[in-house]
Amino acid sequence: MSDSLPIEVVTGVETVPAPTERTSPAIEVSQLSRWFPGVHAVQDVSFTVERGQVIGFVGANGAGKTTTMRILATLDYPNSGEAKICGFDVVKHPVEVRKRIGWMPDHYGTYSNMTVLEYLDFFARALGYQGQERIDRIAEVLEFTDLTGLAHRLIDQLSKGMGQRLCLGRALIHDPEVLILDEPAAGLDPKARVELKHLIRILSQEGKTVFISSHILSELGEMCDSLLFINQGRIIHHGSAESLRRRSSATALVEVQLAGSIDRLREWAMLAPHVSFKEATKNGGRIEIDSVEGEIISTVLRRMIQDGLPVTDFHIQERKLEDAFIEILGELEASGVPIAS
Amino acid sequence: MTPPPRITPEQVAIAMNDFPSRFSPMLVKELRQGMRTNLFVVAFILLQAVMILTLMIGLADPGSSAVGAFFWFFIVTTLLIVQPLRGMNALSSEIQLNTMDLIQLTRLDGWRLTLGKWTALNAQTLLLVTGVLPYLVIRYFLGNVNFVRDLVDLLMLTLGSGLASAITIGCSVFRNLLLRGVILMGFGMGLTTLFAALKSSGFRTGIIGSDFWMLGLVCISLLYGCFFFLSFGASRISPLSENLATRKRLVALGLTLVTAGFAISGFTQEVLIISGLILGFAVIDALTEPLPIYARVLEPFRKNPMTRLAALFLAPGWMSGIGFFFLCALVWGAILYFGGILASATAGSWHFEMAKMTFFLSMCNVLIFPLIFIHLFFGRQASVNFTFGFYAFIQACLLMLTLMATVLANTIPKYEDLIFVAVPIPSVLISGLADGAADDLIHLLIALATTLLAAAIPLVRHQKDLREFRHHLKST
Repeated sequence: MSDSLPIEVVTGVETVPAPTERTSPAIEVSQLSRWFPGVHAVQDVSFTVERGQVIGFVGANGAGKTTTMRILATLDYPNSGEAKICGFDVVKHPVEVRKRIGWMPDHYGTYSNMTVLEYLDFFARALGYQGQERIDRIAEVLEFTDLTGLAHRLIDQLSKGMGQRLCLGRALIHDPEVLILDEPAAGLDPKARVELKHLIRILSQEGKTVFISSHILSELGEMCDSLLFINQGRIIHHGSAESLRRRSSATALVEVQLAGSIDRLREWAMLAPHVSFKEATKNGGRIEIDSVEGEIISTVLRRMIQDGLPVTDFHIQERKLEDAFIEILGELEASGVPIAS
Repeated sequence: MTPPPRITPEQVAIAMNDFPSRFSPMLVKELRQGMRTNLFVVAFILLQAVMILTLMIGLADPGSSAVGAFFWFFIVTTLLIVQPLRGMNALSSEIQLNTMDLIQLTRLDGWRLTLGKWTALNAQTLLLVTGVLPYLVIRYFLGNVNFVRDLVDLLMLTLGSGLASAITIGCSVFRNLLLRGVILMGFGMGLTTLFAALKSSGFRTGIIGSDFWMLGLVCISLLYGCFFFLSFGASRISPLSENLATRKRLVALGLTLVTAGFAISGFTQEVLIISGLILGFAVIDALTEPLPIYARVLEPFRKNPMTRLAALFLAPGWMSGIGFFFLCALVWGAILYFGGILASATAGSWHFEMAKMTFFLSMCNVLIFPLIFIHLFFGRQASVNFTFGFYAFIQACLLMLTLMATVLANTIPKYEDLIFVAVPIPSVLISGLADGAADDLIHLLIALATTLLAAAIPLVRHQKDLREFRHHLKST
């Protein structure tokens, strides 16, 4: 047990600091480390999230996402380093931090024999809301999450998507500035995913900071201002989805559709400069051009037509974030860094 | 598809005005949930049906003792078995449902959570009791019944139900059903000893008659029992940074001193047993607490030399639990001494009795002895509940070993040989003392050495933690 305990010295019982509250970043993590016996879950993680941003936190299972998020939510302690939410240290001022965060865990906890309204009422009471203020907060959250028609339904009878909306509503009861959402879309059907994405977009428009982890990179790419990739407890990339695509795109992937046989494209690609055949598709194939410059790509298309290939469609495929992520992992693996499973 | 109907704050207010805002959130939640459970509804209806049935039989055969027995059997079953058993999953369900994290982020702490659950369960018990009251009155009018005595008995059962609920809720923190069963049995045995010592009629005679001192002792025992078990559960679901240990230990010491005050009224034996049980429960809890060496937790103990000294006994975690063990041994030793148990007065002077001293040391040693195994072989286990579970398991094994040793010793002619082999085990030594075979200086020294060894091994094994503990107490 002792190995997992923090050793930093904290001065004073919680006193409310305050000076930089409004100007400080929403999330500030500096050289954060957390280890358990035999496992280094988080290692020297540092990043900053400005107020109002939506940040995606990406990593394989066991990469350290949940541990980092739990520390930010004051549910766990770091062994070293520090983390601040709106300027308040998560270890020294957990009460102040809790007022400012809304936490949604990957496995949301709900109770049996309890209605949606009673569930929200319990948390509103537990957060210290009384009288009319409590009533107003519950009504507001019910409306935001579109659960008004289900207010008197037992939680057991809710679908997974409705349950996630309820859980998000619970996290919003005290109108927090920062939302920490751990895999909120896991196990949701496409419709529920779209609904959740819509809610997160509204929250971001309202100026809330959203720190969200997910496995579905394409969704994160659409939703987030920037992405944070973590592997084996270390941050391996921090930037926008576009920068991630650019980072790993020294080559262009082009989808070509032909009127004739695919074999002709394959043979042609073997002889043509700057081009390699990647894979066959239904009516053609994908080729990789070893440059992203438009001039070279147009030269390749011109040569195809000159060489008599019956091209019916030719378009550059946008690089998938998943591919970009896997490429980063591949680079790391090649350089000897272990990869989380 | 038609959109769901809008809900206005007025509608929310109407739906949520069943309990005032000032009520504990956990109490409100548990009452809302609890009243809907099938078990409560069935128990309530069944109890009413049985009451009506007994009254009808009573009308046909007034004054029948069988009817009375039937009447009380169902009340006892409902209050002492059905209601407490509803608390069996109270805390483990919160852990299983993954709701503890969510609650931790609110203003609720482990104690308020546990207390809320207990209060809600007892509020439902009160509802059942209230439902029984009219039948009590009707029974009186049917004749051959002492109404006041019945009322006191019902009050006793209600209080007993409160204690039993506290035990089940406190023990529900363990997810392992077998462990829960073993612990419930252990605590049950302790409490049976307690109430046997207090005389079962003490409460009734205390209220009806003039036996106020006994009533006081029973009330202290009930109060501490409820407090201990609820705190026991609360401290095991709370985050490590939450200090519930200091209050638990101070309450145990305080109530022990209050109990000791009852000795002036002549209840020496009862006082010795109650104080021993209060301190014993508190020590077991202290020795099996996880070790949160967070600067934040130790901060209040850093103020001055007095608070730093207090930290050695009252700071959370098993490390100060060892200090608390010695403090409690000292307090109980003092009570035994002044109660004339450890020493005998001859011609104005006091003489310690060897066998009684050995017995006292061995009794203390029984509590701390399992620490040798825990810290020698499993000291690095991080689970909060592991230490207590393992402690309970070792105690059960030692009990079995003692029984075996006693049986074997009685069948082997050379009793002394066997007792010498197993005598470092405190319970074996107590068994030997009971047979009058271990009342010399060597056995006293063995008891003393084993006690010191059991206290030293954990501290030696965790020197790094000890250094850190001292560092946090000193740093400014």
